[in-house]
Amino acid sequence: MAAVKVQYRGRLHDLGLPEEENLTVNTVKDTLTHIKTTFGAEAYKAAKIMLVAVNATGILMLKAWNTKLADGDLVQYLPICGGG
Amino acid sequence: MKTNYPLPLYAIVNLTDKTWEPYPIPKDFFKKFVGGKSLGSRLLFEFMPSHTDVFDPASVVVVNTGPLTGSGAPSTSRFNLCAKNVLTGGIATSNCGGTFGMMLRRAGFDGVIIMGASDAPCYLEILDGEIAFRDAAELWGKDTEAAQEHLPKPYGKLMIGPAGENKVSYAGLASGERMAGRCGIGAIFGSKKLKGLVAYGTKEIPVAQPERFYAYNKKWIRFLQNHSMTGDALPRYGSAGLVNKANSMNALPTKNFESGHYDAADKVSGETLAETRLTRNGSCVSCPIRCERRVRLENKEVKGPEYETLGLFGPNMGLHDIDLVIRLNYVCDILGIDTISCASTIAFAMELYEKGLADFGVRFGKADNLEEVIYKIANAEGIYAELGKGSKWLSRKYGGEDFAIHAKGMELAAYEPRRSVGMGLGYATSNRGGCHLNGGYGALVESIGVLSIRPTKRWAKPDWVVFLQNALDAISLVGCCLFSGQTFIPNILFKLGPNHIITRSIGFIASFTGPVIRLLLKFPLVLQFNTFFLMPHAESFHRCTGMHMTTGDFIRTGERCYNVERLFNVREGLTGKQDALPKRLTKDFQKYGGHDTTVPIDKMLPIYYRARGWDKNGCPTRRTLKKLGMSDLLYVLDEQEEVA
Repeated sequence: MAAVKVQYRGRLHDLGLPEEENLTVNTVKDTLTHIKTTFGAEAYKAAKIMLVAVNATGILMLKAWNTKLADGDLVQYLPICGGG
Repeated sequence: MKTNYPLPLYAIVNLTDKTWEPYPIPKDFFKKFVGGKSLGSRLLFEFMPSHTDVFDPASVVVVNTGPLTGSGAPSTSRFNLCAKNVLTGGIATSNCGGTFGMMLRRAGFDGVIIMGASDAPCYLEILDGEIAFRDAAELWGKDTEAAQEHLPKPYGKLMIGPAGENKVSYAGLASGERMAGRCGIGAIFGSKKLKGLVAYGTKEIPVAQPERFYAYNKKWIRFLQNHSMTGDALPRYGSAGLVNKANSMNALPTKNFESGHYDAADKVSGETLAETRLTRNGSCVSCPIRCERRVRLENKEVKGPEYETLGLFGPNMGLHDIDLVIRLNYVCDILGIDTISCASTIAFAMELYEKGLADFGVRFGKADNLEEVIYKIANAEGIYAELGKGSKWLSRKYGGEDFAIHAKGMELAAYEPRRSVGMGLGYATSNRGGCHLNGGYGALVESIGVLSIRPTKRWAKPDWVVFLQNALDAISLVGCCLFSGQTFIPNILFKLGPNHIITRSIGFIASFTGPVIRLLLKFPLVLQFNTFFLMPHAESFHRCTGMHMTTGDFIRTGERCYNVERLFNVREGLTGKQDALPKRLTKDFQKYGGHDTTVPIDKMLPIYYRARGWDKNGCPTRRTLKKLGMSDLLYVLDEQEEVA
């Protein structure tokens, strides 16, 4: 198990989740499960479609939801944006 | 063309003898080139002799609109400027929102062709079908904000600041708080002693089928509001929301593009901006997207920085002070400076110092003198006048060409191409130089959007880049904001999210769609339909003008635009050699990005040229010009052959 910090931005911020919290988990998927059990289905639904980054690297560049976490890692739930 | 829609009316203005005359656009020009950057580029062939120096009085600037500008269709406040590019020597096109375009049309003109040079500072006042040359002695020396405040409030305005007056190579123009920043057209205004243009009028903007047009626009607005990108992400975070996403994909330029990742990027992110600095959203006229950030700067509310400015005045300089970026963004705007080229040139100067090649007093991670440096650049003071010439010029004088981050002489936007190789190809081939938008904005489907078409792989990228470049040019030339085109990414993908297996699979499969896209490029006319899901602009244009326009025709119009721009470059002596990127991006790996992070430009370029119907020197072939109905410009190729 790893002691990590999780930040909630965008829609999760609007749903009243704390800005950040400390969790002890194994993988990124565990943080998603934590959101479901602690904050409910709506937060889970929102979190699932967000950009998730570990130490500012997108999990798509890692092992997606199965990315293993280490002590001190920062997991961020970020909104998808556009621009130009 | 069976329609009662009037042909566009332009004015030819001669600043030397202070005369003007109306110029109705020939029917054939309108039909083929429509408006905006496409028609503007075509008109440069008519009015500007080849190889004219940008600052010569014979140099021409076309300020124009598209048929949808100010028509009431969503996101259509845009107007355009075309000229010879101060930084590249090729085509310059710069697009801007605000009210000027709409007011120009209400004043009775769809465009103005400016030639000659005034002997004393002046500005053009365009009121209800008349043009007057006004003395600008009181405005000269004023910044863009003060100059605009000096003029009547209801006018649409377009003004240069001190940077334009001092011919800084990347000087732009301000319209309200909006900037036509790129390509240095502000400097050409300065060389002509033209402070700017103001327009006001009460004429109705023509629409051929008003009822059908307004009914369609209502549906289009609803579509934009219901789409996750234009109805939620952009209003909520603006383009600034890209900072964290780009950073998470190693696509955020850091320390002069040394790498694509910056640990403290969140401090200058769109989320931080929205949560801690945003006072409200703003928008251009008729735009339901409302992406503009309004933020507080000391005791006033100003326009907030876009993604480019946050990235390039932030991580690309080793900085993460959001208040500093807000301030520098404002300073650049009032001085009339393009934030992209300015910030990128300063970052290059920072690396010149690190490598011991030159010292302009700027350092990575050091913010305290940046505002002063920008003022000195705008005023062309001492050695800072050299910073005002851009990174290509600097690299030729002081060395460092391998890490001078420009294409054709114009600095790259804030998308690290080694993590979006299609974007890299787009930058290299972009007609106006290192521009993400003229480059097709491949980054949106590679690394920074919900969809990720294998960012470091080159498969299918040349074909996608051609398609996207044509599509963006088409949207721009009718007078629409490019943000309105971002709905072509299906909303369902936003609902599934980037991590969903379906979204990831589509990204994977799309990397093998090269042959399909190439077929579409060859036969765009198979798209004989219009739909909200691809290009709503085509149907809106059809109902506005009464002219036949399907999605396929629309893409072809964009292709014609891209080719006329390219032909202007060819005429001015640019070749395929300039379709290149600096060595840092094509040979060196990203510092923290892994060993597959270079832009394989040599492998993509030949495929790109083939898909375009260009020869190996990046020049449109005779066959391509004939196919596009541009046989009247074949003489440019004849001239090139004679020179060769």
